[in-house]
Amino acid sequence: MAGVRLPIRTHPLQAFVTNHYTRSFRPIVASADMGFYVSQTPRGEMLLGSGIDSQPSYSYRSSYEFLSHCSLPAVTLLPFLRNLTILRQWAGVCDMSVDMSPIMGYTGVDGFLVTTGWGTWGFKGIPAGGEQMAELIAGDRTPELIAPFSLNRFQEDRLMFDPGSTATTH
Amino acid sequence: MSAPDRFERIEATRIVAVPGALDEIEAPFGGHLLRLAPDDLLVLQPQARVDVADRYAIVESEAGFSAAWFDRSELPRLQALSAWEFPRRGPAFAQGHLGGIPVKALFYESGVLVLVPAVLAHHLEERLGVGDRPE
Amino acid sequence: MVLRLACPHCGPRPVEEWMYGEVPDPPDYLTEADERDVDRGFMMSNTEGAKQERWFHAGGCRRWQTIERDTTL
Repeated sequence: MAGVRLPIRTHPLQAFVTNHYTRSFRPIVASADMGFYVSQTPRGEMLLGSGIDSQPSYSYRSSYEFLSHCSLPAVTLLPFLRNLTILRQWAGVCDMSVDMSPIMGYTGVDGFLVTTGWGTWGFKGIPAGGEQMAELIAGDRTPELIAPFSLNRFQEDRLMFDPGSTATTH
Repeated sequence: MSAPDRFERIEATRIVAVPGALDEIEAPFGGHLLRLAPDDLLVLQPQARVDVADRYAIVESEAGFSAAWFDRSELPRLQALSAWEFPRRGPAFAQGHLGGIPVKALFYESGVLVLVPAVLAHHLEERLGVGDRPE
Repeated sequence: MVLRLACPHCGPRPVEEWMYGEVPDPPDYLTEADERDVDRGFMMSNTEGAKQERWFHAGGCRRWQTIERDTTL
């Protein structure tokens, strides 16, 4: 559109919930080794997910391979999940940057700024990210906090490879 | 007949050569040839003596696979563990995942010979429920 | 959905048998060598729609194949 090239790829991220289970499961359990996470929603459903689909795609369709891929480690680690049934499965799409960290700030095109690459950890980071972007726009200078996340970090060879911070498993 | 007891390591011969040279071998040699890729052929015979019309061909003995025979009656059970369709008629060669494990399979009218990388054989045995394990 | 990719050697196979490989595609308007290198190393067209891709059939013939796929399906 603006002729700006971005190190971003769009990947689906899927998740599913089971039927109601007695509300007793307090922690969020994530296993980077087994590649899945599980927690209990306030309604008592068990919410399970895994990493992004490995191939880039804009599709919102759910897949069986994800379901089987995610269920195996789940019932291995938490055998009680075996007795639950799957209620809903869905997919969203994530903007994944090559170093797994968001990209914020100037693009080289006058008046065109980006805040992207928030795939899978936007909920945690975007309140601070939004505030800092507003400050950048209003003050026309990059706040210190988000300076390392600029687009030109790729030219300057200072990547922010940080998959651990997403607390999920990619 | 029921499922086989175990996957057993086999000795075979691996030939890597230009596709045209492998085409020539396949025709007269008959069965037990697995064309893994256009330039890659597995002969189920230890130290097979084969003339390859490619001076850069690599012919090496291959001990990296284990194999087991499954009777025709086992096919529906195996098919249920695979997301791709087995060939309808034998003899035919196919490769892909079976129970999530990469296998090579020779299909005959009477059954199927399943080959698996030897290091993964115990996983496949577990997933196919073969072998004499206590239960 | 079960995504299947048609392997020219092995036939249609489910996506979990495959590994995706990114193909660098720096646009022609980038002419400076360093710019092209950065683009090849990091940037992506992220095409929405049909595009040619490279996939490695790890669970079958173990060869890289060129396959056209629609990223919206």
